[in-house]
Amino acid sequence: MNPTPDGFSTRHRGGKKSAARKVRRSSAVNRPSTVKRGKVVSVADGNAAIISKSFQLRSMQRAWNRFHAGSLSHWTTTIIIALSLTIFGAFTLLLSNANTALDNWTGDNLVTVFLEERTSIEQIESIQTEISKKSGVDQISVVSPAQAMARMKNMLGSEAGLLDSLDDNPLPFSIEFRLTDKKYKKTANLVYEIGTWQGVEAVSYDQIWAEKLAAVIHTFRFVGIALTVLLLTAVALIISNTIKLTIIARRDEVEVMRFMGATDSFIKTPFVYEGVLQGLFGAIGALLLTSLLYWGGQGAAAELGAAFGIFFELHYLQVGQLLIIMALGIFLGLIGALISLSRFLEI
Amino acid sequence: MSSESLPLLIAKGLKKAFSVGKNSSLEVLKGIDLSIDKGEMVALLGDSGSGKSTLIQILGTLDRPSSGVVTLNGINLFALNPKEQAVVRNQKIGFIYQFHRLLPEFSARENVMMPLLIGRCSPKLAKERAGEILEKVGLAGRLDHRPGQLSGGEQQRVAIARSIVTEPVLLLADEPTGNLDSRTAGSVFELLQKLNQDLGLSCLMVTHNNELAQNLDRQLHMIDGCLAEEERGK
Ligand SMILES: Nc1ncnc2c1ncn2[C@@H]1O[C@H](COP(=O)(O)OP(=O)(O)OP(=O)(O)O)[C@@H](O)[C@H]1O
Ligand SMILES: [Mg+2]
Repeated sequence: MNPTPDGFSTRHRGGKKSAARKVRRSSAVNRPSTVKRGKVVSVADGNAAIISKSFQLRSMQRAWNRFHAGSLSHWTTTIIIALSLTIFGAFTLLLSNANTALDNWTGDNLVTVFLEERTSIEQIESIQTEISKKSGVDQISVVSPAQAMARMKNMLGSEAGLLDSLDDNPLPFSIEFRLTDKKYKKTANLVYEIGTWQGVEAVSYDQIWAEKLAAVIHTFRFVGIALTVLLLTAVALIISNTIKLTIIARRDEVEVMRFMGATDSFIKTPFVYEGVLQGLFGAIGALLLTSLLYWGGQGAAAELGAAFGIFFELHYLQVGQLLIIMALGIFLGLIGALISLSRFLEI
Repeated sequence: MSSESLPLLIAKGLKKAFSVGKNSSLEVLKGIDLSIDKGEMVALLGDSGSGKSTLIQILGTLDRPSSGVVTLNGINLFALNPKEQAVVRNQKIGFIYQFHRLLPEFSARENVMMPLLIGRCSPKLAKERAGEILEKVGLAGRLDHRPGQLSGGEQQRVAIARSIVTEPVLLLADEPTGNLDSRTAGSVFELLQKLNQDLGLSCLMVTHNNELAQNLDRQLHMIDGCLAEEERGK
């Protein structure tokens, strides 16, 4: 755990290293030799080119080589990052679609006043005039029981035959209107007032649903944020742990770089790039998975929409949201690497 | 000017304590005074655990002393910041260890190029220079071998080439022949002596081999964290 002072560790590390190399060599034997050869040669041959490029580029290439030739833990970490960011992506997808749905719903702001069965035409007309006197009332119209029935049949589609068995039309007269003003409170007050009028059986309006949906979205957003924060913290720790393993595995190389006179940043940069690479690949994986969820979800959303009698089309994440996922991945990789470097690479 | 007359390396009152556990500490170096002249080859002998490696690491700025001063060419090494120390290690000091400690993914030549590249030498020049040095240590035919493809003696020669490629003034060698059979050890030792004569670089060499040590200019003994010099009428 404690920093192993160099003098003490030199010989031990040397010993460890040669053991590690033996393992590596024997694993080279196990793998198909052509693949392994190609890999090793490309690392070595690429080196001449690596070194002639800028320092940053060189470090990136070293990180890539490590990642490429790297251990299972790199890929495991990348997959974990991908899955975690996918959960974030899925929540974002869900919430932003729900928000769109909410916008569309409130956009209608339709109020329906159901009238009592015995209400006379005159009464209906007087209620209609009363309503139209209210401010913000628009597109007011009376819906006859026959019209209501026709709509219902339309909505039921192939099951409309069920309604044919009814002798009488049980549906009442109703008055529909829209409110130009979309303030929930105002609408609610008006609805309450109309509800007390004589001849009015009930008043319904879409915004009730909108409010409920809004509440659901609100809860989901909270859950989503909490879950995301937890997951991302876990991911940062997992990345830092992977980098820690790399640091330990490369401790001797770090030592060698040090006695050759490499500066701290020269030694550290490849580890940072390594973390960032993991985050980046994880994010790309997450985008692929989120796309899959999107394709899969489209069908389900259409069915759900049909069940509620609305046309509902799932939209994909916006460019900004995609960028956020990428940025999160990279950021996590960076943080993970920095945590690990500050804790385990004491130079 | 004045540094010509001064010893190359001076260590004064070096102490090093490691903390072990929570409250106890182990004093490994108990006040080392040491000076090495330019071109001098000094053997450092002593029992296992007496603090030889610890001293080497401190003289090479790879570890800090608890107290004491080290100057190289008149420069106080522990007054430098880590970046400057890195430059000193890169330009002025060469390191050789018991194990070659070459980077396994890189060829012999690339390993030797590495210190030059770290020192921002152009790759073309570095490649040329590494080739020359490897030739000098007798490995002209092994430039593109990976360390795993070299014998123990050859690996150590590459490590030696790497340590001198930036033309340092001081070589710190911690049991450079400790891992080799006696014949190979002898030839590696001869190589170090030859380099010392050709390049005039100073060398502090830890060894357990008394016979080899007697061939060097001076013999220092590390005894329980203190240095004692062997008297010889030379
Ligand atoms: N990081 C450390 N923490 C605690 N003790 C240490 C540490 N490094 C070295 N020591 C102790 O310091 C003492 C000297 O170690 P050092 O490696 O310098 O010995 P050495 O003379 O090189 O021995 P050898 O001939 O076996 O290489 C040893 O007793 C060792 O246990
Ligand atoms: Mg030692």
